[in-house]
Amino acid sequence: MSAVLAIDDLVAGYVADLPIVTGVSMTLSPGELVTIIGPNGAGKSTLVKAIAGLVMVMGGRVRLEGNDITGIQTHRLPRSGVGYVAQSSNVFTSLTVHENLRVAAHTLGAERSERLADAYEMFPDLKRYRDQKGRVLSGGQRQMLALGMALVCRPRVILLDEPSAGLAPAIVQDVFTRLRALADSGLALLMVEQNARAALQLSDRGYVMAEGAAKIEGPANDLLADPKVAEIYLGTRRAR
Amino acid sequence: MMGYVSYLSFFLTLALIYGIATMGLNMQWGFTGLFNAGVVGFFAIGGYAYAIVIGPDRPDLVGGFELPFVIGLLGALAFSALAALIVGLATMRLRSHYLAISTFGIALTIQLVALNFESLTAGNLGLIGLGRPLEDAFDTPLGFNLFYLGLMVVATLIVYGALQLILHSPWGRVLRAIREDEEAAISLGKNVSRFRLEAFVIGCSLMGLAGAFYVGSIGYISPFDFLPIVTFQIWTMLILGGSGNNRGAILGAIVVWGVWTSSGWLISTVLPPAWQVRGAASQVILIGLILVLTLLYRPRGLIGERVTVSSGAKLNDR
Amino acid sequence: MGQLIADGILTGAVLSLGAIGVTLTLGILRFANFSHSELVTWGGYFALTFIAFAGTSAETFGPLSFGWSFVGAIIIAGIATAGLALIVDALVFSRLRRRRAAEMTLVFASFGIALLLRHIIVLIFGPHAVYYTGTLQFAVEILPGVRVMPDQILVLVLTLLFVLGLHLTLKFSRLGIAMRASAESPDLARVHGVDVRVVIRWTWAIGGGLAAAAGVFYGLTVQLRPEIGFALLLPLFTAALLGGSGSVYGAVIGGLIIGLSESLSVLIIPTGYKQAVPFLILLLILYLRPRGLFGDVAK
Repeated sequence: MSAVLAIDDLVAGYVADLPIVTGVSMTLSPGELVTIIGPNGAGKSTLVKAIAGLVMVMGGRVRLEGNDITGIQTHRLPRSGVGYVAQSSNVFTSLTVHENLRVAAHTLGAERSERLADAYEMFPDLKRYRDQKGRVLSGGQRQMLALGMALVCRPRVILLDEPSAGLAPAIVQDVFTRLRALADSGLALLMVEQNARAALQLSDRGYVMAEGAAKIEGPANDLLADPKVAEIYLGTRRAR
Repeated sequence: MMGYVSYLSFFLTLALIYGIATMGLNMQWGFTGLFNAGVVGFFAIGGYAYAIVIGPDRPDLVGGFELPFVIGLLGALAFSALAALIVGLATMRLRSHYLAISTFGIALTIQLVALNFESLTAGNLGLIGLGRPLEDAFDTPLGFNLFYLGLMVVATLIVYGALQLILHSPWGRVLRAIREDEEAAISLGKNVSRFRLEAFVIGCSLMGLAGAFYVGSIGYISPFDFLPIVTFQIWTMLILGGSGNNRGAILGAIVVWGVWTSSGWLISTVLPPAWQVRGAASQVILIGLILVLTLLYRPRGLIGERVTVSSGAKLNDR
Repeated sequence: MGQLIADGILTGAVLSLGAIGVTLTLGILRFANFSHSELVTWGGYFALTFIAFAGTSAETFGPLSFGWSFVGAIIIAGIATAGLALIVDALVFSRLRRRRAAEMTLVFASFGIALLLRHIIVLIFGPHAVYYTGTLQFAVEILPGVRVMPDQILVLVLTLLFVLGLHLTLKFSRLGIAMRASAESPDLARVHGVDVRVVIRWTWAIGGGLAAAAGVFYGLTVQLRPEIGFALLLPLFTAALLGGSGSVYGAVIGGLIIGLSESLSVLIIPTGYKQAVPFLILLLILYLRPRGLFGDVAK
């Protein structure tokens, strides 16, 4: 199984000389849903932001299908095949649903209308709200729109930063089921989650991050069963 | 020889007066991060308040209370503080550019009042014959100039000392904390807008005080002493000297006022009369260049604040 | 009264064009650009320069005071002013952005730039008021007691066209949607492939072009002076903040309100204080509705 995304010893942070991610290596294969868990301040979000070029990379490498995309300029992400779903404010609230999708299709040419039609087909709800402003959508609808936007450019990899943040439990299940289905269709998904137990239950593999590094890696079921992981990150000390 | 000494003392007097206004601006921008785009307005309020309080009674005008010099200074402080309060209350809770544009507006309005409210300010004729403190005690202009320079040195030292004192008091520490990390200050229960408002009012009062000293030194007042360019000059003094440092503010005032007067002298002696207006424009361009280049290449100025900013403040700046 | 309203609408139209640029910089570049109104002045003088070289056409369009050379002048002024805005951005603002300077540092730099731009005009063109043409125009009575110049009517029509064009661009074009997206969240726009640097350049170009139009119209219907920009600074900002920062439609409405209130103010306060009217409105907005009229729908 060849990795679609390979991260090698990545060092990253907001301020020079003050790395938050201190040397992380990870791989992601097509069809895989991989979850990164860990306590607050472990550097999980910073890691995905660094992959997306939103945070300064100070060392290491990120490769996408063999191409070096380390410290990529963020606006080149969609063209290089990476979709990114940011935490909470991941749709434009002042734009309509359709305009949101048009922003997501910004880099596309003639294929634009066809891709937008695909998005509406995949998320029929969005069609009903086509001309509504992003701000009137419910949390779940916003997450669907964000996912639809990430998919418009047909990425090979999607990075998700806490997709369940602020959602009602029933909606969270809904979102996770969607993500599982996307992975099963061959996409590679890397997500950061606080909602560790629910996320791992649907994931193929997981990483446990702490203090800026990936401490434990393994199949999701093993992590769920691991008493050490359970005690530190899944149990009472889960920071939410 | 005496002419030079007299001229030099007059030059230094004005430089120190601007230095006081610059320290006022430093309280706002350097220590609190407030952008006051209407420095000249508060300078003018101080000047006019002083002139009206101490000036001779004029039958055709309101005001002219013939009160002592010190009362004039207090009047200048009070009125500039009041104007600061009006603008400050409207803007302190809002994003910073609201303050910038409102202060610009009040400066413009004050200039209009100075020009048009003739029964108070005598309009564009200005108020003359204001009398200067202890003027009669000196036989020569030089004597008065040296005396007034001495007075300004003392005033500058008092203002400097007082500012250092309050900046190192608990109040000053809260102010710095707000500038470096507003969120943290709020979470500690500090009323951020009140501290800002206080710093803004203190700064404007100092500008008003400087305006009073200015009128005190020349003995008359006219709207044309308070053109918007004064705001730019004082800003350039602060930025070049190094904002966040009151010694920098004084140094910047002396340097920029030196550049301004010497370039003005050069233009008036070298250029033919027909080119004087363009010469004056290039004088302003020179000031503008100093300002923009300092911002780009030496953001800390000549002697900026020592680097005591925490990493939190650094993050804020990013 | 009718005459004052007509005059106010005309002033308001020119203010609207300028205020759009202010509101765009507030919304997309996220700082108050104090030098924007100087672009208005430069636009006016660029057109003057073009006319000086191209000469005024002997033939004028019907009742208007100008002919073909003036059309060329408007276009050249728009392009040149957009270029000037881009140069200033490249030399100063983009460097400060790259250094991630605080918002107020940019405001502050714009203050210095305003000073430079204004006095370079004095240096090149001198301090006196100038006019595009010496042609005398006769006012037409459009309503009983309301007289306007044919040029003024044209200015109004062109302003409407520019505003409509910008509205359609922002509403429907790929660039326009990207601009609105960048105004709300530059990072989210980047994630979806929008190169925000390009959006910023277009923002300068559009703001500069419209400022030039405002300058030319001002020069055509009033006169050209180096202090136009300085005099317009407060009205433009008040119009933008009244409309709600980032809102183009708000800026247009704001411009009209300011134009009308300045014009009608002479009924209740002495003419000498007319310039202070925007400031009074500004204070009212700040106390009553700091978001502006359309601040909510804004971005």
